[in-house]
Amino acid sequence: MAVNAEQRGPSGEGMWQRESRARHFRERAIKIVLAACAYVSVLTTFGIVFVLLFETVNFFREVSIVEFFTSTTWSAAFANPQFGILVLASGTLLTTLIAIAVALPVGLLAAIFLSEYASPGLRRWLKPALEILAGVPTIVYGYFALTFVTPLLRETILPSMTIFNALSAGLVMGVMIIPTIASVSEDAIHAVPRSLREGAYALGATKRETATRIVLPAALSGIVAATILGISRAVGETMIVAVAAGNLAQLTANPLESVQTMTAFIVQVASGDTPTGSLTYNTIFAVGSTLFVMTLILNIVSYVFVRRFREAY
Amino acid sequence: MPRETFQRELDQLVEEVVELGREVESSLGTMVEALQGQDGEIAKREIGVDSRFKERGAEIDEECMVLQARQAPVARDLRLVYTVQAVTNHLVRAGTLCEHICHAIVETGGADQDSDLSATLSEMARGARSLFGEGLDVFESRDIDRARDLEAADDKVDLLYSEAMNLVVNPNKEESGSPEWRVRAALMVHYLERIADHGVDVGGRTVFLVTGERMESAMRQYRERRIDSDED
Amino acid sequence: MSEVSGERSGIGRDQGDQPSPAPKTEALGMKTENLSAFYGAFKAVTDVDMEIRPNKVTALIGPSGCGKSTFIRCLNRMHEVVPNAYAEGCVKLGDRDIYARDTDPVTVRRRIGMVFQKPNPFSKSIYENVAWGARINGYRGDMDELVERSLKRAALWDEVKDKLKKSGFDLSGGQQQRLVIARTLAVEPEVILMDEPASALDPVSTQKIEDTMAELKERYTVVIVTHNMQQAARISDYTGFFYIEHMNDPGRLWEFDETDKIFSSPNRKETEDYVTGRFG
Repeated sequence: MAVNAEQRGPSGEGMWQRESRARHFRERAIKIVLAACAYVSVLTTFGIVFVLLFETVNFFREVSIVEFFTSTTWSAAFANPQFGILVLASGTLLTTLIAIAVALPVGLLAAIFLSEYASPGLRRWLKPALEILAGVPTIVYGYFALTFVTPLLRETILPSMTIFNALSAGLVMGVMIIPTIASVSEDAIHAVPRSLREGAYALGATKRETATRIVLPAALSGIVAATILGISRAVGETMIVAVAAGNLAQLTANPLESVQTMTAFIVQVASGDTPTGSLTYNTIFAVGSTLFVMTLILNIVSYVFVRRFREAY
Repeated sequence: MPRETFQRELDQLVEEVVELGREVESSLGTMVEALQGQDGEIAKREIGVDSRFKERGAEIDEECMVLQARQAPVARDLRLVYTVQAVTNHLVRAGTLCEHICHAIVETGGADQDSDLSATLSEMARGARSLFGEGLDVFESRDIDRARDLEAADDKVDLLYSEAMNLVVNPNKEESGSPEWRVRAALMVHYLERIADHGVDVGGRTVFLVTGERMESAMRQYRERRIDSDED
Repeated sequence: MSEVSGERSGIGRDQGDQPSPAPKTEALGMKTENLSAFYGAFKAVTDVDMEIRPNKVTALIGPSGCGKSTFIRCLNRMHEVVPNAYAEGCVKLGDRDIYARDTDPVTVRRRIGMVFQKPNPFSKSIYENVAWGARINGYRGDMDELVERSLKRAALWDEVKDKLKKSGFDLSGGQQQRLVIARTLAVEPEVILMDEPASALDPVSTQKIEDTMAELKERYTVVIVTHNMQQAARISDYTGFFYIEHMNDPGRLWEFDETDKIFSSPNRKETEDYVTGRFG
């Protein structure tokens, strides 16, 4: 392959072009393979969205869209069904709020500790250990909530709590997303250049002043992204709420009672013997679409936020 | 070694200076010959060298300026460029004085002379020329140990200077030479003394080039060092 | 703190005077004795004895990796910020050993400010960048006035006076570096350490920083690490040459003298080879 001295000169031109053509072909081939892989995933996504929308449209042929967004009753499986998405949304909102209330402070403080205070050795094993938490199957969390957290709370401070309740599910969900928030925030905090910290130290700032007033603001966009990622996971979380929150579709703000989230409803219908094409069957697509739109909005908000507040450092 | 181009330019600069110096030295040789024989014809050969030396000196000066602008020399490089400029100045000035003397020889060709003074002049001229040559040798070889000897040689020229001046002021009664020649001779004595000084200065500049110290303090050190080594 | 401050009062000293023409103010000098710096088991710099004269600019030069940056970071205990890094020996600000057991590195760094190679403004407004350091150090005076005075001393005021609320990142690299200098001045240190402050800047910005430095020494003691020898020659009064004789040796202070001497006739051959570019 090597072009040696004899092959150079006018007679070498042909060589060059042939080799160039062969290489050109290989370049094109690899590009096509790569593009195909990229398009497969994009097309799959579009396919899913298309099916969702198609079935959702079917659903709204039979159910008023106004009723869907305003009714305060959800009784999809009953003889005279009512479809108030607010009921399921409230369940999702309640468990998510509880989860974030747990995960944000704990995750953020853990991230600050890991990045700013932990020794490199400690950080080296503590961060992977934290990330392992994220790998625990959520069904395990669900039974942990049902068989450990709920009895514990009932026996100690909240005897009035029902067996299936939003609080336990939310708390355990919070524990579940701590690693997400902590890990992503830690990455953001760690990515703040050392020069910025040193700049603060050089002015006589203490470690705490530097961490809270220089490093955290600089990492804000990353922290917000981490939080939104956590919220997305909480909103989309299924098994914990299906197992521990009770699947009772009621509009309530009381965390001690049972609730049904949108995901839990989908599981309930999908795992039952609902005939394909029936109205009840179609509801899961309507709920799925709502869920999809919610997560989409969260992702867009996070994207916009990250873009607007990104620090050049 | 990095900065090879720069180093080459510096080396070339030094070469040009030495070349100029050798030419001045050769003019001085002619001058000595002319003075010894009171030969206006020989002296005439050196009329006009001055402007040539000055031109060469200006060229070297310009090269130094360009080098400083482009290469921003420091430390030994800076000392070299600085020394080259100073040495060139000494060389050109010695050349100018040489031409003055030759002029004087040409113009007083047929005049009556004082033979004692004439002899002293010749001796002085030889001393000045050899001092100048040695100063140039020191610069070329950067052998600053030899710079010490220059001062001793200069002392000898200074002695001749006093002697010559004495003869100018107290002329020999029998053959005192023409007044015009006498005045010219006084000037030549002065010029020769200056040429010798330029030679010593070239050596002194070289000491600065090598050690970074001025001649006077360097000389003091060398004297002290010699005493030390004698005691060993 | 009060022992360190010497004849000057704290942060609000000479509050109210006009920044220009800057009246000369006595700063404190520094001195190191047998200073060695380590990264874990690796000794980066060994046995540096240096006297840093007050109200003078001291430049530190030398080949890459010879320990000059490490050394300058020891002067305000910034070196130990790096994990496992530590220093041995004595560093004095005035008469006070800043490595003494009862000395808090945070107070040391307020007295001995630092400007880094890469401009590192905070993700705050220009105004806040300057005010922040003074505020955390408990400055109680007129903040607007302090910000203006500091920016003027850093020769940045005219360029930013109409956009103080804008982010520090909106400035050019050279302006950012002067903002960092202003931020350092706002804390009113005795000594300003600069670690290659102009190496990332264009020639015009570099020139402005250099001009600023000439004025800074009227009120502060300045130490600057630079790879640019002409810069050292232009701006400094004293120059220290750091050098490593053999591979894996720690860096040493090879020669320290007046800048005029270092750049006209240094005493050691290695220094001369380095400043004339014949190194290696």
